[in-house]
Amino acid sequence: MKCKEVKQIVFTYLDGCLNGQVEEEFKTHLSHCTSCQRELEQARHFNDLLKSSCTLVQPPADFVDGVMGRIEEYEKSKKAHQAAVVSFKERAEKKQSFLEKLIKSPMSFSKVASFAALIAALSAFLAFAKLPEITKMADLGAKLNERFTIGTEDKSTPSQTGGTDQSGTGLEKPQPSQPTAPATGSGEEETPGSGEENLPEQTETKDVNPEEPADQKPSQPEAPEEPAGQEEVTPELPRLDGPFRQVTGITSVVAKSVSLTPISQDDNFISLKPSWDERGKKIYYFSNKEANEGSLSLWAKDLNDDSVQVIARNVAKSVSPDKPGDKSPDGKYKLYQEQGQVFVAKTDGSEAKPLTPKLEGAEFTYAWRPDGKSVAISVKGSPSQGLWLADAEGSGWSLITASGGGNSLSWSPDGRKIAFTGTNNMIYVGVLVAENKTNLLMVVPEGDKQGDVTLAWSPDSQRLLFDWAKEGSTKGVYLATIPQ
Amino acid sequence: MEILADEALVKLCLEGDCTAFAEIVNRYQKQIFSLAYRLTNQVEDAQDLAQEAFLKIYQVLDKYDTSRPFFPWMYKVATNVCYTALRKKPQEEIPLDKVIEFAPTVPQAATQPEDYTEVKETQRLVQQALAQLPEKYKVPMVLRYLEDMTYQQIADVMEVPITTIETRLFRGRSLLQKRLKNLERGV
Repeated sequence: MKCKEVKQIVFTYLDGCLNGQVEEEFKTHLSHCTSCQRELEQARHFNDLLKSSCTLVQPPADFVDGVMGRIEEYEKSKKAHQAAVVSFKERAEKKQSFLEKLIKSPMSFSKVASFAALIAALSAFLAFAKLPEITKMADLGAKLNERFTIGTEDKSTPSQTGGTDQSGTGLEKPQPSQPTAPATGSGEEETPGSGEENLPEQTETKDVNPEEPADQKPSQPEAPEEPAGQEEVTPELPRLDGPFRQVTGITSVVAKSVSLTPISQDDNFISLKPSWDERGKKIYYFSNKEANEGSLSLWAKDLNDDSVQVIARNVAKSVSPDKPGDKSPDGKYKLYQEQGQVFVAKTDGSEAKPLTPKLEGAEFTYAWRPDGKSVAISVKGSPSQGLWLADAEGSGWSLITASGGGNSLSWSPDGRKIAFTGTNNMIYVGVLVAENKTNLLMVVPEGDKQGDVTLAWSPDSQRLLFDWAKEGSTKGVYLATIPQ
Repeated sequence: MEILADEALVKLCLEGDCTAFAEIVNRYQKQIFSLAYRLTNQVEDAQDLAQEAFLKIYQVLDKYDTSRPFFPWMYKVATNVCYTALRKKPQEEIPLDKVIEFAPTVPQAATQPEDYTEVKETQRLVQQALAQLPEKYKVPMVLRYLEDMTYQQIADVMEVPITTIETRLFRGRSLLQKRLKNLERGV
């Protein structure tokens, strides 16, 4: 039995609900795994906390009276309803006898005839008057259907850019209630969104619970999913004003799968802001594991033997990703932004030149390429949103991809790759294979909703370190090996 | 005064004796109110929900099979009423002043006053986090910890397979741990 499996059944063990063989394997594993022993202790503590917090509560003093009062009201309304039903029946019976009398009485023929004629006239009138109404209602029904169909086509069609937004924010055709498929014996949860379970005397509704964790079975490993698919960048470019001209054409991009290795990922702790040692053999990161409440400790993982150790406890209260430096690699120039534009100037402020056109409302993140000849610029909040490559002389810029716009940006030391984020903190790597061609790689399957990420290249430019949290998980540190 | 068994009280009630039902309410008001309270974490909502549950029990009393124990049947009806009501109600943030003072029925093990305060605060956070869970997780969690029900009993009450209950308890606990961390951080 592996540690991951132990973690998934530890509460079932505490509940006394493991079957004999599984419990034996569980105990055997515990006997030689101190990490899982700690896990069990934590679970026991958490269990005890839940038990002590979830106890019986004394109801208000007048609770019984309140219940009986409602029952009394219920009985009264029930009797009133029954009385109304009886009265209706009696009236119906009376009507019946009237007709019978009418038929049997003398001179009934004329009366009946008149009555029949009256009924016929009334029916004809009602039928004639109702027809347009029925037609209108039919039209309305057709229009409603049409509206739903149009609405469904317009708004629930998946995005064309390769992402599939299934959040249901668009207009959806109303689904009829449907019974839930019974869960299988393997422990598989019902299909999310297929409907709720059958409880007596309840109507079923579609499950739109946004809290639903991504994983389906407790026994399934939680490896990050491999992204796949094609992504094409639109060839349409924003117009450039002033002296700018398009230096290169748009690069076509292909999304490939990237292999990810968790460096530190534990749903009980956060791990963030990773960095490399000089030789690329050790990884440092911050974590609240073995730290006081509200503090972070510094940890190190040795890639040679996978050993992990805490370097210093409680060294920080919070950390945030570093922004790329604004000084050029040779230290002679600096970047800055002003009034919707990015500029380059000598470090004393002289010889300032714009690297971008003026973009109202735009926010920029920029990073010098290691050779100092160009600058990667991430633009957010503008029609020019995306990742751009600007010539450091100010002669122009070109769009690498519209998928940029995030706050994180990092060049590989060899200057051939750029790691960056989109506005949703999705992580990408652009591999500049030629002047006009960049291969775009998706590093993670989804954006990090918990905030900005740290990106750190290994000294050999082959691997990318980053912190990231997928939906429903805590932030962890991962290593991506970038395919060549 | 003779103390009648639940089944006998039900029989009297079905014959028209309302005081028999009042006795049933009196016997189980704490359990049903506690169930409602642990699911909502608010006194007024819990009171409404618990009254609703008893009214439903009264309305369907003729469906009770007297050859089986009364309490599990009654609790199942009450749970269903709560579950249905919760699903209809949108999730909302519960203000702290709506949380009643926790009155433990068992004295705490804490020895110092400050320990007791800290324990109480932690329990308050747990109750708040529990009430904020989606109903499909919090109902089995409450049944487990409030009534110490086995997985099979919970499965019977909710009428889902036992494997579903295992999964929901696992996810409920995971979510609760995460939410507690967030609450402690003030997020």
